[in-house]
Amino acid sequence: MNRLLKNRGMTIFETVVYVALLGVLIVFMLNALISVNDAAGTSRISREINTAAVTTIDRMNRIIRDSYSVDGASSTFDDDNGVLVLNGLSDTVTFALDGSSIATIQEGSSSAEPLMTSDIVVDRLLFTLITTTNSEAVKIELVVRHTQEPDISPRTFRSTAVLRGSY
Amino acid sequence: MRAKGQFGFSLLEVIVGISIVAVFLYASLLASKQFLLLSRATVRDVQAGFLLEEGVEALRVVRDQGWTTNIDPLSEGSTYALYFNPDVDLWEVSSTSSELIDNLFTRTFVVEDVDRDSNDDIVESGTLDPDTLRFTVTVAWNGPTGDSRSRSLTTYLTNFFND
Repeated sequence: MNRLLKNRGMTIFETVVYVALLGVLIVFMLNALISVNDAAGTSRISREINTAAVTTIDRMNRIIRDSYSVDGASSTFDDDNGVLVLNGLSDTVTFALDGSSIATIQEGSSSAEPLMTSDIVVDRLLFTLITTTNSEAVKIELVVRHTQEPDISPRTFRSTAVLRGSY
Repeated sequence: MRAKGQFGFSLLEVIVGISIVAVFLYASLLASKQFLLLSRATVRDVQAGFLLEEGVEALRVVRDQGWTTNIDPLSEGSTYALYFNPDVDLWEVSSTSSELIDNLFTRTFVVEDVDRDSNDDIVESGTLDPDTLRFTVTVAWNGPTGDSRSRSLTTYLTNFFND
């Protein structure tokens, strides 16, 4: 500390302290950046899973409610790779999985269209036919996961819809 | 504190500066942690929303299977759960507490009587309508921070088929 007036450099002690502080700061900053990045990634994946589930199940619910009857012979019930064929107002509508495990919808004579992005994998699309004395209903179980984040466990979405046309 | 002609920062200045930056970074860390928890919570919200909607449709299935046998015995104010019977592929009402759905959610419902006035409009107090009931379905679950969350949906069902 007994520094001469012309000596404008730093002591070794000061240098060590500065470098140490800088090091701590850099580690802290990197840590913060990584966790912010992780949070962004997780929330994007959550959002994509949500979007896929909401689009698929809402579409199924709406079309099931609009339908008159279930084509039991063409449908596959109580199976993880389910197929649901509905006799709707004007068209026959088919819900099924395609080869890469994405839920698809096929209306009338048009070709099957995907209901979700290719980042989503459906582990289970299970339909159960419910027959009451007055109506028909379909119970849906959809289990989806995200291809980019295998660590995030698959999410299950459940729904039941009564065919209003079956009354 | 500073010697004449000496430029640069003093140790104190450096420490103060780094502290400010550190506090800022810590805040962003906390925020990102909160975002993570929230993003996990939204999936549960969506799942719960579908379970609620399913509860209402399941009650409709119960009604369609016969009002007198399935709906009439329910007593006002009691809490019931819905149970899918895989042997007959039908939704049924169970008076025992709801089993956990996907190890997280409980779904219950309560029944209330419905009164109507002389114009057949639903009112708080009037003439009891034995063929209409108000159902409130509630889905409850634990949030990511252990807080309990719940959502409810209310609907009316009538003895539509007079059975």
